[in-house]
Amino acid sequence: MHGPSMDGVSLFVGSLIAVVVILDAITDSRNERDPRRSLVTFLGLFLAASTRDLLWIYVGFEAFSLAAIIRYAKLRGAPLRARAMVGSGASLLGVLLVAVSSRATDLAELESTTAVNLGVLLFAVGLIIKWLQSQAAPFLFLGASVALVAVFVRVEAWAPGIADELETVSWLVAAAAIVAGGVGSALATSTRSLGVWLTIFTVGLAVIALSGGAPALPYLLMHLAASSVVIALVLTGTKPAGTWLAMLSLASVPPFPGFVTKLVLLAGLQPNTLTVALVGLLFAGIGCAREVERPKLFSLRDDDASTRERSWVTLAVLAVVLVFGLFPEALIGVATHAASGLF
Amino acid sequence: MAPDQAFPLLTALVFLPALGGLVVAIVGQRSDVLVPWLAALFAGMTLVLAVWVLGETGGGGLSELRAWVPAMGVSFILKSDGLSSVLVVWVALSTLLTLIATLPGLRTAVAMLFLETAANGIFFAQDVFLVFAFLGGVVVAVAWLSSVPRNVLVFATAGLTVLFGWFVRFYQMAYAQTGFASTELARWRSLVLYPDEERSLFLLGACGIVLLVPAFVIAVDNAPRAHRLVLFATIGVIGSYLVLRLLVPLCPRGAEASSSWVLAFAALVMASAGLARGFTLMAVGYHGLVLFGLFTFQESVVVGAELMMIAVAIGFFGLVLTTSRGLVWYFVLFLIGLPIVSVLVPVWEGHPLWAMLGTLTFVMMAYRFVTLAKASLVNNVDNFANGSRRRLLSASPVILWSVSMIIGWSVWTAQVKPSAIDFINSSSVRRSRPARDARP
Repeated sequence: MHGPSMDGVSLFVGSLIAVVVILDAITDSRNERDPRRSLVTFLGLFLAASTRDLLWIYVGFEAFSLAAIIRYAKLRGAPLRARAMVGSGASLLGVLLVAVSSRATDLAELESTTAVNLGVLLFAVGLIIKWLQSQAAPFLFLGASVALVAVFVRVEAWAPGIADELETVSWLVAAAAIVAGGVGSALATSTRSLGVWLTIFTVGLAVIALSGGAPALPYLLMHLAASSVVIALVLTGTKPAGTWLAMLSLASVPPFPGFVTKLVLLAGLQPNTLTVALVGLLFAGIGCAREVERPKLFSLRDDDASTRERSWVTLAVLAVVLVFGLFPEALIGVATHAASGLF
Repeated sequence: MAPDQAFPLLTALVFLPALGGLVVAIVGQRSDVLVPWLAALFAGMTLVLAVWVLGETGGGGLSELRAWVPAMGVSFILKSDGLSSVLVVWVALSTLLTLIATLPGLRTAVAMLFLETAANGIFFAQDVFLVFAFLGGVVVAVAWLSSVPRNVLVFATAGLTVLFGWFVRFYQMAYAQTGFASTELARWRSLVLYPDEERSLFLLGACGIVLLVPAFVIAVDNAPRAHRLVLFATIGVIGSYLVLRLLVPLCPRGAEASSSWVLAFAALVMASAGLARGFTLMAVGYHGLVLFGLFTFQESVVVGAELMMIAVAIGFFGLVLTTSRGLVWYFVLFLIGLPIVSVLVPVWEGHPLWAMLGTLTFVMMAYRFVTLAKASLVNNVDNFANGSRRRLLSASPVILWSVSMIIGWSVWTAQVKPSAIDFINSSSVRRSRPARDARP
């Protein structure tokens, strides 16, 4: 079994997960704030994002899932636990299938056989179910999204044969996520639901961009960083100016970060895939446009009657837009350094 | 081409209004009274710089080149020529006059200045990424000036997404053919495309620009009256400029192959303007006429169409600004007479059938225009500037400019002719370079 490694990708992705978890803790009301639960969430997702061993990935997602259930069991109850169990079951079954057929769970040691491919597919399905069941908590969903993309990156890097065999399936799932995320964004009626659908779109685009191979990885990381940080800041609560900047970025309006980070990513796609991505982007852009100056009638939490507009969050959005959008060289350098050595 | 300047004059000209916008935004938090005058000060300084740059275009224009995002092949390239310099002077003048005539509040003044920066950037940019960056700035400023920003942004993001796809496709081809990433306009103009792909790209880019038009219509129709001035002055010009400097030069064969469709579409737009209920759609109709002129690819008509771009902005700006009956009719006659002389008459020499269609639809448009003008004089709509003296002061430069276009027609023609020749030659240069064979 190969344990977690502190390579560039795990540090980059771990930073994003840390930002999301911290912002989640900040938006928690005082009686709900639990540092231990936040720590478990972070460690679980970081573990899942930092290892190429299926068993460790499973453990990481389980830890995250338990923290999410504890947090939202009061609100969502049995359906949430049921979905989590289904996801866990599928992932565990997949790991067992892989372990029995190849006597290893390290992606680098797996060979592409029918049983292994099926096992990895089941494992991925289980992860996706656990990922989707966390959408009751937008921040946790966002963190899990980042970790999920990191898992896909590691499969592509360390088990390219398996990734090639499952390429059609992963393309279909990613395309569905792009289109569903885009359409969902366009029809979203609240900031929270918009954040969830944009997250799905972000993940779909990141996974489909993996087909570009190693050269696409730095830009995939950039896209993940720009999108996840901005979504997290919007969910935290910004003033109208910050919402404008964030939505323009997420709608990929030039020269905001969304446009800059997606340019090279989209340039690495085949024409059919590019068309799917642009269709999703079109609807996502419409959703973001509708969010601008939307009356803030909805709160982020069911049990919170107020929606706060935080000045420091607005400043953070401005900083992200300036750094990632107008001066992206630094981010390109960091992402390239993080991606080097993985493939 | 003139060597790079030691002092970045073009960069200063582009970003001075934005700097002014920031200053106004900060000062405006404490004092509303200073806002319009401080904004007018920066607009005035921009006008001075613009006139200076216009004077420098005789030697081949100015240029500036800097790297921006080398990893992505993006450069910060600005270049001035006859047409772009004139357009920048117009935008600077119209912004200054709007500020003086309307004395807007903080949000409006800041948005106007940022719009001016974005427009100037589009006119000077020679890197396609830079064009898109400033186009995004235009969209944001227009949405900000509108009273229904969500509706404006919905259409604008749709158009920008389509253009994004167009941009990505060219980016892919640039990398495939040259071996490195680049977004320089000159490099993209040298790309060799399959005929069918070039036509598809032309139509895709055209769709993107067309999708931006409803955003403009919504923005203007729903803008407070004070904002409509600056929107009339800049938006239509930018749209035509994108076709002239970006879309056609990058897809010349596609443009020529689609010219019949574009001419028909332009005629349809003009015919639709014949049913317009307000000046907004009428202005759209006039830009249809500009499109009509450009796609004849006939030198004299293209020159006329480029001058029409400016004349339409001047005419509608003056029309909305002024209140006197005499001046309203002056601008109406200006907007009816100039197209006849600059576009419709020359078209008959080269394309009689299209000229017939264009003339017919223009007559419909002109008739409707006169009707609207009469109604506006009766109802006193679309005239809003407070204070007759300030209005007359603001209208005077516009009147003088329009008169100069009538009297000094040959001077104006000489000013824009090089860009018209470049526009026509872009297709002939591409024709001389062998096209990629048809796909197997």
